[in-house]
Amino acid sequence: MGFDWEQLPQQLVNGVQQGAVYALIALGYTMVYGVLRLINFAHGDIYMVGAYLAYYTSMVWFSRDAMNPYLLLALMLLFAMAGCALLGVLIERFAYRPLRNAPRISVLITAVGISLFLEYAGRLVVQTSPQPAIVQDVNVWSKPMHIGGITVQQSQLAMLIVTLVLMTLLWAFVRRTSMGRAMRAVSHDFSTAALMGVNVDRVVIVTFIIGSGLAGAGGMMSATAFGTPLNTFYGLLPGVKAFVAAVLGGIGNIPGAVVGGLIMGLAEVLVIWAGYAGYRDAVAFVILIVILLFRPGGLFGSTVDKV
Amino acid sequence: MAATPAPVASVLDSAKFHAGRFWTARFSSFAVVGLALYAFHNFVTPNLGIYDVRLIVLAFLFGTLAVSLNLINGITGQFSIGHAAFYLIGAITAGKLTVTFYKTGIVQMPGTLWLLVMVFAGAAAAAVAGLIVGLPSLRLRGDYLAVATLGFGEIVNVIQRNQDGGKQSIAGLDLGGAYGLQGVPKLTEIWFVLLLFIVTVALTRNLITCAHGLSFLAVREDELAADATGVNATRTKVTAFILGAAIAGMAGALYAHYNGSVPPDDFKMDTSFILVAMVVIGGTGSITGAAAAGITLKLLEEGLRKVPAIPAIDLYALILLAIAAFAGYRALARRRKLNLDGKLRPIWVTLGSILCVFVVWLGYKNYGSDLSWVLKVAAWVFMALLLACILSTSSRVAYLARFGFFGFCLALIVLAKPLVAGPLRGIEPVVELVGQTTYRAADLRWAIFSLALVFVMIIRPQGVFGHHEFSWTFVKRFFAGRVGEGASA
Amino acid sequence: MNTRRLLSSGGAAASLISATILVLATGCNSGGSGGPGNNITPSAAGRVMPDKEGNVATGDTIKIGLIASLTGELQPWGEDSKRGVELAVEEFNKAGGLDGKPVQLLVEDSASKPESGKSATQKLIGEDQVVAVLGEVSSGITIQAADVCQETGVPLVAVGATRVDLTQKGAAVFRACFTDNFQGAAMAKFAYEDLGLRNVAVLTDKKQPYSVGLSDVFKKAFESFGGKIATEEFYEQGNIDFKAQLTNIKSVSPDGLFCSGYFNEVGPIARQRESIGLNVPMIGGDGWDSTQLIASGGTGILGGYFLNHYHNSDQRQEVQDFVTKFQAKYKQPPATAMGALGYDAALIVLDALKRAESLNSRALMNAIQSTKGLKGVSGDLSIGEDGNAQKPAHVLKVEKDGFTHHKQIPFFVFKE
Repeated sequence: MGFDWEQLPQQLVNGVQQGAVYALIALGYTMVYGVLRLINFAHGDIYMVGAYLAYYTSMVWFSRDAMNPYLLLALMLLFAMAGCALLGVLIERFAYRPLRNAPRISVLITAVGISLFLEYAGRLVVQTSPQPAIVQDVNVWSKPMHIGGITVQQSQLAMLIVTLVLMTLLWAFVRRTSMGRAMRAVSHDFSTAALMGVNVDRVVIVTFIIGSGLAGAGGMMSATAFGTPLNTFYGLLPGVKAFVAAVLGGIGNIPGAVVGGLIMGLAEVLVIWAGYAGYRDAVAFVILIVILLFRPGGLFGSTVDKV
Repeated sequence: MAATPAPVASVLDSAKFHAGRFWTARFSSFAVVGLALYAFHNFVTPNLGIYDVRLIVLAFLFGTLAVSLNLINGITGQFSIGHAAFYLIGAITAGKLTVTFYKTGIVQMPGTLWLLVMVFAGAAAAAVAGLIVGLPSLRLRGDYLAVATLGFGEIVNVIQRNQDGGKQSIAGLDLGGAYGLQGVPKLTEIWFVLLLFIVTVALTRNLITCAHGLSFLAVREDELAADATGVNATRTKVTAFILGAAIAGMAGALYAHYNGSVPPDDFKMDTSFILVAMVVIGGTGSITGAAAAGITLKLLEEGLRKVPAIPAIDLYALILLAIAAFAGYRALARRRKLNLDGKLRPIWVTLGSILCVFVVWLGYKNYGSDLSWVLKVAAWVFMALLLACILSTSSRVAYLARFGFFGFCLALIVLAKPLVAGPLRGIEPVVELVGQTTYRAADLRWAIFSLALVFVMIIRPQGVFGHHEFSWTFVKRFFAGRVGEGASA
Repeated sequence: MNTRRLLSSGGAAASLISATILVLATGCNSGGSGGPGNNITPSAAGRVMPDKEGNVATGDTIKIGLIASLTGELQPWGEDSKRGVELAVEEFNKAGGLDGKPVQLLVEDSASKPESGKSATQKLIGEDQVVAVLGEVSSGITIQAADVCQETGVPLVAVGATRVDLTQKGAAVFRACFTDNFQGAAMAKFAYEDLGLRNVAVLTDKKQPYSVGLSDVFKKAFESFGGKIATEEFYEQGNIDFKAQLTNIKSVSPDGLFCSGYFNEVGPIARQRESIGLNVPMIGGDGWDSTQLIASGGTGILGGYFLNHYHNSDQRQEVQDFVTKFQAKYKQPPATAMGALGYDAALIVLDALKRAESLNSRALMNAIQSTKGLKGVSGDLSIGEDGNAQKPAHVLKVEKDGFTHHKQIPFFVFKE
């Protein structure tokens, strides 16, 4: 299967669209890791919960057809982000906080446990309804745009724009506000920040609220844009790939996470374009191993992390 | 003896025995093992149904896998969560070689001998993989190493899935793709699996009690200090990976020849997670713990088929009650009704322990009647061990007592369930939402399992056995009445 | 200290000695020498008979087993097949059973995984002593069950597994549905003759053995009819974005798209192919069978054709009776074709029970093999020489409100 150069521009666009998903999830990952040095394995599952919340909001709890589509979208986003933020706080409070001083391996295993729990217990809860969990097209986003022979999906373009906007907001928050400064302090040195009078617990809670909220937003937009039937393992692989994206960009670095996500999406699509679609999932992990071996700080990061 | 930690003590001891005694001891133990397996093969195996055989084979294979993972995670302190990949590599290599050479008649030799060769082939292939994974461990620590191993596991899975002789495979290699390698002759017999388990446990045990093995423990405790004392930390870590991988490869080879095929679905990420959970719950660093957890959890998986389905509403009622009970326990503990200067009061220890055994026995009585005899034996062994632990006065029992207390609450909850479930059924939205669903034990198994994992990490991160082993010295001391704090051997 | 040495020693090298002793002692009389000793080689003339005799039905009831995925991804199909089987057994018992003896159905969960399926089958055969086993829906799980059944001599009637090599495994394995061999060829025929397609692109789910097998046959058949395969692209179950593959496909300008995967991915594929402007008819196999397909495919899937074993609106008397009975017992019509297929698989076994010379697995197996003219819900259930039911396939068209029956393709054998 030779390289079809004509298709390259379209494939690049496809890659960026795919990468936007990873970028959004990676933002949350990088935040939590930057502040807590914790790989929150459950992050991908929070993304999944966001997708489900979007589904329930649009299909079950409110009557779709009677509503203004923009209002519906806003509601979905609100429910997804709020619900996931709450979930993130609960997880932190009950699973991660008791292990604040434990060896990192314990925390990692706990994160894996929470991830599995969300997946399997979640399956028990959603399995009850025989209806498939699909977020139907919300009319606003369904038409594709054609620009000079290349097709761009409106919904995915919207996702990319929202990601960039959120990234900028987040960056501004971290750089300009006092809470942001507190977060940076905690990420530099946990105990010293506490000694300096920073309310570490509150900082961690805020981190989780923002990180999980972002994951929820990602879930909601992904479910709406792609329209795949949801299942509770929806977030497992994207979560891990987003982690790779965050590492690629430099863990703890906000713009890095977005760039990392986009690069990941592009890499996957290019592999498919080259005719090796079966190896697509391996791409993420090969990138991970290469980056960890040769430039563990990532593209933009350094060993001293910046949030 | 009580003061010196176990490994050092045994090394000191080793200077004490004579060559004669050494070789007598060694040979007699082989003879015992050999005779036992021979007897098992000729007297027990013919009486086993296929389901019993499956239970035994899987349980001991997973016990072996858990011990091999423990070598990497618990004993050397690394963090590998992609272990199923080595299992898969061993199975695929052995299976493919058998299908290509043995089945077609190119190589003619007795089946069992060929299997032995294949076991080593699987070990070799997995060892190479272990080397590949181990090398990056030089530069990676903790979390990063974990994710790297996870990634490696995924890569191996993806590669195997694509090797189906078709367009996307490397040089047309056919490993069965998503369907799995089929048609592997079933050469494995039970005694082989048991032998592998015994060899693995013995190997690991000897490894950590001999001088070479001390370096593994040293690397786990403090890598920098180990380096400073002359232990080549890098080489140790890589060796641990290679050994752990090789053993897993052997188990894989046996599995391939037991199952007759190598379905890739059996080697996915969940298998890796289960193995990690087994090691963690059993006790990182404890061979007994890992082996016991491996065998127990695997048997539990099948044993749960018998437990009847539970209506969803009842389940939610139970959950609510459990939360209430937990809150009550915390309140009591805070008010010092339970503890006295940090130790659990003897009354709770006794009561809790008795209740613990009682609850297990109750479960066995209700659900155990139709179990395969293998599972029944396992359940009795478990209860006997519990009893033995309880009758000793080691402080480890304190934890058991806590579980006993929970068991007691569980019994109360089950009795009180109708009180909560009744009103719940009255609430309209709940009924509408959940209605008629019933949950089977198998559904719940994973949810409970993952919750248990989190629980263990929060309450007792070193697992049930911690760094200790359930060894004969312990038993000896118990009978002599000299079991002290932190008894270990 | 002696005790400790004795009991705790046994190094690797030493245990090898034990191993060698054991090998020499037992290796000669077990395992046999090299060569294809204990595997089943499919032969062209007939299928290999199992070595063992299987189980005997003793006691007041006749026990048959069912493995179904009651948990996991395949749960909707598993649950449906269980309902179909239970309905058939209930009817049989109400009509008096086998000379007054009722049939007892034992169900074990295969949890959507091959390993669990194998355990479930072994438990049913080893522990519960069933005389026959029904199931499963997925080929990957059924092959494991077939392995056990062939080894123990207990007949297996697969419900919805379509991979060809299943019944080739041996004479103990039968099938109530059509095979991928027929399905792929039938769809190829339909594409070539009815839709007039000549240059079809194929999109295969690399992670599903069913999809890989089906695409394989389709390609061979389509080319043998004179058509051309424009290209084959791959994806994996669980993917949500297919635009890269669809872009590749668009660049070779096919006139049709064959999707051999399951509905979970086919829906989004349909949506996305429409959005990038790949406007060609879509065709597929029985993996499309689910009402979810219309919901997730949106406008992109409308007008697509796929092959199925059965459909609820078929006007034949058996079908209407079945739907009515099913509705009465379960308050909903069968959600997928697996309800009907489960019912038919059970019918095969129950019918064979009546004709078997004695109540054991071997006699039952022979009776199943000689099933002729049995009218099932999904078609004629005569079992051919290869162990498969020789039934027609139904081409269904995807419309806004559901699937409509387009055409029936009678059974034929495709030789490559």
